[in-house]
Formats: sequence, C-alpha cells, structure tokens
Amino acid sequence: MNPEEQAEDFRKKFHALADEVRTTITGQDVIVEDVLTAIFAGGHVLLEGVPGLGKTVLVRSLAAALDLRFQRIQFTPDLMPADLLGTNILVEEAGKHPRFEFSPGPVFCNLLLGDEINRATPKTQSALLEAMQESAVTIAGKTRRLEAPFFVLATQNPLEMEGTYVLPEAQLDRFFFKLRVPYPRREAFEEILKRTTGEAPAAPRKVFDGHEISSMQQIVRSVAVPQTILSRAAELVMATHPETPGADAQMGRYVRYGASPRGGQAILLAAKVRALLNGRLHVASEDLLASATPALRHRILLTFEAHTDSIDTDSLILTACRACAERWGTRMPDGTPA
Amino acid sequence: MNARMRLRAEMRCRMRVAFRSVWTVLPMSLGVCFAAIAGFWFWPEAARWVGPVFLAVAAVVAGTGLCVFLRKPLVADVAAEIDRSLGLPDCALAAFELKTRGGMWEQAAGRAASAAFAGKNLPPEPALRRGALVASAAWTVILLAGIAGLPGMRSLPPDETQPPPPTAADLAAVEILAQQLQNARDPRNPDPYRAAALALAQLPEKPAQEDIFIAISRAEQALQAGSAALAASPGEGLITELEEALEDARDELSVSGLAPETAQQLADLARQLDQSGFKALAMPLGELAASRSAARAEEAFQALQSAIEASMAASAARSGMEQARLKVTATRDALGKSQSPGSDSSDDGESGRAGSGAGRGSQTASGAKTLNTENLVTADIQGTRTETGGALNFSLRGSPGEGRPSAPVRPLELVDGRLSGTVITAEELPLAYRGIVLRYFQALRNPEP
Repeated sequence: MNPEEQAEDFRKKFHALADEVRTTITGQDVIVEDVLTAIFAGGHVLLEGVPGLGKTVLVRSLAAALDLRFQRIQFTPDLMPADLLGTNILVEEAGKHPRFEFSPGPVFCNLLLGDEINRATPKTQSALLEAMQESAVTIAGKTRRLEAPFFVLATQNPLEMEGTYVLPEAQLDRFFFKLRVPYPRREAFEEILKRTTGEAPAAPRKVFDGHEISSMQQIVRSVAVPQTILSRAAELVMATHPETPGADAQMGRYVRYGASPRGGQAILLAAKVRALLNGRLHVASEDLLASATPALRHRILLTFEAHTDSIDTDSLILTACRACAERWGTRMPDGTPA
Repeated sequence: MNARMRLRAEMRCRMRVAFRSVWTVLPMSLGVCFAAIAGFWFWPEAARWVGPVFLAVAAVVAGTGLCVFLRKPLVADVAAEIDRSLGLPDCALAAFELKTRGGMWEQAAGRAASAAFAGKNLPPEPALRRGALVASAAWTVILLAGIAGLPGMRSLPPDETQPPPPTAADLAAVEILAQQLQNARDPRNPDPYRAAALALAQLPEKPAQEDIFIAISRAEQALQAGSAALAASPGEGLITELEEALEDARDELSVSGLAPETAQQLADLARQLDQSGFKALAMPLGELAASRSAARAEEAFQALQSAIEASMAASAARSGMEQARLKVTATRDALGKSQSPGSDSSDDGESGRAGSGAGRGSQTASGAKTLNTENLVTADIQGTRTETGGALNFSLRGSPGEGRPSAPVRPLELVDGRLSGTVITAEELPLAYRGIVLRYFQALRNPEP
C-alpha cells in the first residue's frame, strides 16, 4: 500500500475501534480518542478521575475490542513487586529433583490495567518502571521480554489521599498521557443510566489483534515531520522551562522543573496520530498544540508558590501554548486565535 | 505553488516584519538625520522647521518601505504566511520542506500538502497593510520630488524666498569701514588691518546679505588675530623695569661711564629682554651696559629711548586694533538689525552687544531696510597712522561709487596672495562655516512677512 492508502486504512481502523469502545462507554469521546492515540503511539496512559466515571470500564472495553491478553491488578498497599512481576517457585515432582520454575505475574500480558495505582507503595510502583520503559522485567538476575504490544493503563483517584502514595516523577514520566476523566454531560449521563440499568450490554466485538496494532504503530512513526515543526515541538517543551530565555514570567514563578524530553517525544508521536486522523501525512503545528496538555501535564513540577496560588499545570501549559501559537502565527486547537 | 502566490506571500512577510520589528527604527533614525541635514543646508529660508519635519516624516516612511522591500523572507516565512492566509495546517510549510526529502512518506506528504493549496489564491491583503504600502510609495515620490525641487527653491525670485539685498547705504558703510581700516595701517603690524580691509573688499558682483556677513566676519577674524598676536608680545612689564633701571643708571652716570654693579644689572636685564623676544630693546641696552665712557653711554641712552617709544607705539597699535574690531562687530550687528522689518531701537538688546562703539543706536526707527551709517562714517578707527602716502586704495566690486564719500576708485589688488578671491583656503574654512551658520540663523531671525 502507498502512504495515502496506509493512512486511510489507519484512520478507518482507528475509528472502528473507537466506535466499538463507545458501545460501552458513553460521554467520554475525547478520553477514548486520547487513550487510543496513546496506544497507537505506543505509550502508557494514566487515567485520573473520581470513582464511577468509567475508567475501568473503558479499559476493559478496550481490552475486549482488541484481541490482546488483558490483566487487571488492583493496587493495594500490601501488594508486593512479586505479585506484579512474578516469581520463581520451587517445583517438586515425583522422581525428579526439585527445581525452580518461573511463575509469571500479571505484568506478562499485552494490556495491563493498574487500578488505583497510587494505592500501592512506591516499592511496588517502581516494579513497573522497567516494564513500562523497556517492555521487559528482570527477576532473579534474568531479564524477560514482555510480549509486544505492551500497554499499561493505570487509574488513580485524585480525591482520596489517605492511604495513597503519590507516584514518583520517574514513574509519571513513563506515562505517555495523563488524562483527566471529566464528568459526562447531561445527555451522556442519561444514556449511561439507561444502559447500565437495563439489560446488560453486549460485550464489544474484537476489531483487530496485537499484530495489527504493531503495524499501525509503524504507520504512525512513518508520518512526516517538517523540520520547522520539529523545531516547534522542541520550542513548545522548552517553553515550560523556567530557565528558557523569553519564557513566560509565570514559568519562572510557578515551575520548578519543566517537561522532560519524553514530553517532546509524546507530543510529537501524539501529533502524528492526530495528523493521520485529520487526513494528513505530515504533522502540523495545531497537532502539537492539541497534544501538549495530556503529554506535559504530569511532567511539570510546580513550585510551592503555584500550590498556594492554586495554579495547576494545565493553565501553565495553556499559557505556553498560546505564546507559541502567537509566535508561529497559528490558531489554538479550539479555533481561538493565539 | 504558482509564482504569483509566492510573491504575494513574500510581500506579506515583508510587511509583517517591517511593521513590528526594529527595521522601522533604522529608517526612522536615518530619516531624522537626513531631514535635519537637508533642512539645514538647502531649505532654511523657505520652510525653516516645517521643512525638516516634513522631510523627516517622508524619509521615515520611505525608508521603512525601502527596508520592507529589501528584506528577504525565508522560505519558511513565506510558507507560514500562505498557511496563515489560507487557514491551512502547515501545508505550504510541509510542501516546502518535505518535497526535497527522499523518503516515500515525506514525498507523499509533500505532494498531499501541495495539493491542499494548489489552485487557491491568497485572500486580499488587509486594508491596513495595503494602505501602508501605498502611503510608503506616495511618500517616496513626494520625498524625491522635494529633494529635486530644493535647488530650485533657492533660485526663486528674491522677494519671495530670500532676504532683501543690501542697500546702497549698507554697501557704502562697508566700503567706508574698509577704507578706514586701510588707512589705519601700522608700520609695525600692518597685516591685520590690510587683511581686514581686503576681506571687506572681497564682495561678489551683486553681493547678497550673507556675503556681507561673511566678509565682515573675515575682517573681524583678521583683526582679532592681529590683536591677539600683539598682546602675546613679551616685554611689556619689562619695559617698566627697564625705564626704572635707566633712570637709576642716568643718575649714576659719571665721566668714566657706568659703575660695574649698575652695568651688571643692565646686562642681566638685557639678557632677560633678549630671552623674552624683545630683541629691539635688548641690543641697545647691552651696548649701554658695555659702554666705558659717558659719550658712548649717552648714545646708547638715545637708542634705547627710541626703542622704548617704538614698543609703546606697538601697545597703542594693539588697542587701536581692538577698537577697530569692535567697530567691525558693531557694523555687522547694525547691518543685521537693519534687515529686520519693523525693528526699531527699542529691541536693540541683542544686536547691540558690541555696540559700545560706533554702531550703537544706529537703527532706523522707521523700519526701512536701510542702515543709518552716519555714526559709522564719522567715528574713525583709532590707529597709529604713521604712513600717509601710497595707501592701498580699492573699491567694492559692482559699486559705481555714486552718492558715496569720495574714495579713490581703483581695481582690487591682492596682497601677498592672501585672501585671494572666492576660493576658500584651508585657513578660511572656519570662517566659511561661521558664515553658513550666520546665514541660517539670520534666516530664522527674519521670517517672511
């Protein structure tokens, strides 16, 4: 297939998958699209929202629509790394010498749902670092590869802080997107009530398998990026750094550490997915701006002054995006002038 | 992308850059400098402050337009402008940057991006920028027309743009002044008087007011230089000491001449005079100190007396030269004052600065453009006039001499090649500049009625 046909095929499959997931999730179209964007970009997603908004259902539906090995872990304070990764157990068989045999943990799957990930201790949370970055785990000195594709979709509740452990920056940085799941609108709310109080909805049908996902990820990485757009992506990330010359004054006041290079990678890959979805074979500035908030919001470390002034990362990213859009002479993703 | 589309996008880039960047500062600065110079040199009589302001505005706008035109936008700027104008998501940018790459996806992206804006035209320019462009072009034309017309402004009828020419009375006053300076020659230092007189005589065929001012300034300068040279002459204090020493020596003079102590004192004094450059006194004094008889001493006394009188005459010459300079200054002020329409003696405050001499109160009360030169004529310059015959006579060029005090009329003669005509030598440059400044401020001082 030529690039145009591949892009068209990608778009069709993406929308088909999104439509299938939406058969069970209502009123979260943007979240569904962002989750799929992260998956096709090869990244992990942290879903943050109050209980009952369908975070877990979303991931379950996704797992059902994809022909992937799915595992769910309920993170609790007493969860140990071995519960996550697996361990060597002693096997005794009659007539044979006892031997150790590796019993893989739930991490050995394609789609891992880490429910309420912030309830586990930092020790257990850290067990996922290698898996998320390298798609591999090392147990008893032996490194074992995880089957591709591998995704972690974790959830956390922003309200209940008691008995939770804030994810360390290194862990947060490994998430491609951090998505804030909002309350559904009234119409969507009514639809949820209707669906969930009547007959059980049919499970999503499988749209495609892991091999197909890998090929779609390849298509995403093939999308062309003009040099100017590449520079703008770097400029956007640098705009969150307080030490960058010409950065907005708010950055110097409220940001302790700006976004990492992983933030730039996430922006660019997500922008590629958006470009394909918008029928383009190249990345545009508006794709960068649209991807900035979910890609950077968990990668910016705020100062104490920001907390006292109730400044969150989203508003700072919006400020940086507006400044960049003005310099580039482009519109913001919502259509408003910079 | 067609060439027309690209050209229009380039123009938009240029406009955007020019109207919000430092490019506007450069032409603005250049424009102000240019306008100040142009107004100063070419247009003082006609427009005064309006001219420079007008030129400054024109130069700023024209310079901005020039910088806009010269600024070469980058390809990325042009592409971004096309995308911005057509509302495309960086399609032109992608087409520009990806079409030269070798990858299959890059080439496909470049093709697809080109197709997005192919066949489309940029929307019309915003009215503001179009208006600015037109204004820039218009001001450029006006500026060029103004510069082209400046030389012509000078040749307009004198009654419209230039101050009135000097009257016959003014010329007569200058001639009389020159004659007085000529007659006030001093054999000891005749050059300043002669140079001043010649400066006043160096007038063109039909002298304009500024020509007279320049000539008077030259005369002033010559007299001032001569007076300063005389003042710098050493020995004035020594003369007093010398006179006292001579008086003592004469009292002690005996048949055998001066006493050895007195002779030694006189010799020391002679050495001092010699070192001070007063050689005319030092030599006879040395002879007096060396005299061994009353007769020789008496001869030396006589020679010394003559030398002392000559020195005193030099001092008188200096004061006379200074007085002559004051008179020249007063004449200049009186001439400037007489050219002010409606002026009378009540506003004589500034121009009467040097009016302690003959020029004071010489203004015409009626406001006519003439100069009352009576005082100037009657108050002669006090100099040490030791030579009467063979004076250097002259007449002003183009002035037939009718109705003037009788003066010998002979063609102008040059003296030692100095002040030789209208060619300005290096030494005269300060005077020339001063004349230009005088001309400019004179024009400001005398607005058109």
